[in-house]
Amino acid sequence: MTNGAPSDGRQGALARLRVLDLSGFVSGPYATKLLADYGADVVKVEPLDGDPARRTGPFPEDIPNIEASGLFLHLNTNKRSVTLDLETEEGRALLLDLIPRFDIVVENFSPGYLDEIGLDDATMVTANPRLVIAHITPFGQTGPYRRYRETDLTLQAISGMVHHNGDPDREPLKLFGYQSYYLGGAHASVAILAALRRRDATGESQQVDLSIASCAGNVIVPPMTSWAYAGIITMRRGHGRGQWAIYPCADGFATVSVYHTGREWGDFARMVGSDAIKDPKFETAAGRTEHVEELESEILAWTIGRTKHELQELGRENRIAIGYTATVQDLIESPQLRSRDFFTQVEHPAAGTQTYPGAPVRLTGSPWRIRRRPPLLGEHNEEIYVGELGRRPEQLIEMSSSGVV
Amino acid sequence: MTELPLEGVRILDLTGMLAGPYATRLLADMGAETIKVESLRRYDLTRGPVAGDARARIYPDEDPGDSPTDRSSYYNEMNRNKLGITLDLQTDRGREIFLRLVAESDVVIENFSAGVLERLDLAYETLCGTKADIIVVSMPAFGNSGPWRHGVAYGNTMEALSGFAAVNGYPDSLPITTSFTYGDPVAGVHAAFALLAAIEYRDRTGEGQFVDLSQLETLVQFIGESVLDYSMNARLPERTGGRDSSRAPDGVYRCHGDDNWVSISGMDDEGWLALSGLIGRGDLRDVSASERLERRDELDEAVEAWTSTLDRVDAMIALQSAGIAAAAVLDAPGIAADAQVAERGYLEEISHPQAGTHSYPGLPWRMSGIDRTIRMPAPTLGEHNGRVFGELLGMSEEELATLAEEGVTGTKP
Repeated sequence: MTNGAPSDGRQGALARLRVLDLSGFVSGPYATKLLADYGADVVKVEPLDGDPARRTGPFPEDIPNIEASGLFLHLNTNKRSVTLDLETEEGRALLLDLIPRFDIVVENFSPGYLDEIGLDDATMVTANPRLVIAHITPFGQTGPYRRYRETDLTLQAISGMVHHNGDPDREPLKLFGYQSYYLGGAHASVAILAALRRRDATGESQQVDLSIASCAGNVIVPPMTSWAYAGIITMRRGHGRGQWAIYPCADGFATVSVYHTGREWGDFARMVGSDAIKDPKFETAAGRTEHVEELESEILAWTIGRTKHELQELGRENRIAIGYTATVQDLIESPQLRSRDFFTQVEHPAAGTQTYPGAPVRLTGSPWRIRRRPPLLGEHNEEIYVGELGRRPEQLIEMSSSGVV
Repeated sequence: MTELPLEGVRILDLTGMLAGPYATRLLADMGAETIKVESLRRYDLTRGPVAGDARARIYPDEDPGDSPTDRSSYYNEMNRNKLGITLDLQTDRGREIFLRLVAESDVVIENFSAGVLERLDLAYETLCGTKADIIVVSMPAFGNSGPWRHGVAYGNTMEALSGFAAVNGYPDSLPITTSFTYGDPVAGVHAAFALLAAIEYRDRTGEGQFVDLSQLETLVQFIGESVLDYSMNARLPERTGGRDSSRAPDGVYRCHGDDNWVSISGMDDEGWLALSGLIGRGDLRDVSASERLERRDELDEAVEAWTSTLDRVDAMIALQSAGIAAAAVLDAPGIAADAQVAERGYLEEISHPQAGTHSYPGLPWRMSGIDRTIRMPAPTLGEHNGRVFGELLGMSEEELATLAEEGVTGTKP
């Protein structure tokens, strides 16, 4: 199960690293998925009833099954799973026994929760003075909103994503899925690797205190600076306008994007080819703004008679940015993604063989690879608690019956 | 110990626009020495035209001033903490100097379309001849192989091709794209991760490598559960207007004033009990979860009758005080005035010699070793030629003057 890379036995880039992952749902798990998929040994510590993502669909044939959630499977490739009740004395002791064996702890509990159960930073650092601790929370560990209830919608709202998405004349829109959480996780992976470098340089423990809302806000460029520079409030743009917009075509929709400086307008006008579009009044950005409605009808006249694949191909030949609005089916059938062998098949005892996204980035010398399918709940309890920590098998049975694992 | 996390990492940054500069912005913010390489003929397009364009809405007070290419909000936000040099890579002399810089660097990052570095005779293999363990991060829109490898794309193109636009929009309307080119920062943050992973690998093994990033392939990660859903159930998601179809009320509600909204979400029975009371509709308190979905429009009206009397932030505070997941829908001035943003110190002020003193978003996390993110404003064109060519490569002032005469470097576009 490799992906665009030879299975030559090379280790992943992060094979040196061990990650103890206390996080659940989407944000923390996406960060540790990136670490795991590039070679880190990630041990996922789940509550006894499992990561909440296990109870979130999609499920095969829509039948709920904590071992077969598509969200969980996507986010937990290459990880091992143990269960642990951190609120028991024994559970806490087991965790503190594990910590010295790991480089990184990742958690996304509500701020203050780990302090309340006696697993504050100082306690973990006493157990491992070189530990990198990453806290991934909706608003960060401090500030007036730190205990606010939240969902992906409210985080996309407070960060500015929602304001900048939608039709200017209608209510603003949340983006699909769990975008703020994914953004938090992806940014956390960057922060973690940087913190690790400083840990190696100084020999000291490092802490990261990440705000998911700030990560979501950070991607909105440049409205904050437009406001600071000139008091401009950037508005959502809906389908766009003029030469930067989505147009209906014969069998769907496609974006047309012509940047306001440089060669692009001339190349675009030649590609469209009509006398009307070559009119000098469209040659400047100011002219295109002034005559935007005429411009839009000229572009629409060109797109509406062509299929999405024809438009895509014309854009490619003429070096103009055109993109049809792909569905997941289009992605799976995409000649580009097929040629790059992007998607990957993973077998799983509960979910069967399914198609997963492949590598987000190809490190050609130290490949991305599915070494382990996503874990069953507590699948590696024996491997970790008995094999690694040296607890006796009887102790594991005892802890299991007393609800610690 | 005040050493910055990425001190000692030197990056030659050939990227422009947003995706690449977003990657190097995060790394520069954490202390990587990032040398942005532009040229007098081909500088980062986000600087805007040489003559300025007052309609571009990118300048302080919308005034292009005497030095427009140094006054762009877009450029100055993305390129703080970076050194700026100019070097014409299409000249033999420029190419030779670039290779000398490669010899002193850890990483080269670029977001040209596939094949451009080869045409400049600066392919990965060539760079390895100069520095055996160099890391090259290449991030064209579609990656370095495949039939689309030479394609041009912007953030909204990627939103369409990656599957985002098809599920973004109102149920009764066309697909839409964001006004912040979402594809770019998503590619950028993955590039930053991959670059640090490649450095970790090099430090362990002594080997550099070529990193091939397709912006398209990074975006698909963020809808991974839809890929699984299609694989499992052949189901394709629809445009839902961003609302939760399993809970109600849920969505954004109009507040008092122009384009003023609050989001309300995560509704369970306990939340509804609180919300129905808060909006003065105790008569609706016993409406069950399934009934709430059926009577969604009616309940939305009841909620909006209350929110529309309040400002978005006051509504948020009232809802949160009642234990309901809610947040104001903030625009830029809303974020600039936000209490949480202020407490976290997320916005930082810095003075730029041509653009004046303004606040910019900092790093979206706090970490050991960083007190303040923005240490240096974005470079004016070629601002650090002397420092980089002189101090790093040991070139004399005469040599620099000759290069400037030949147009290989300089500060005036």
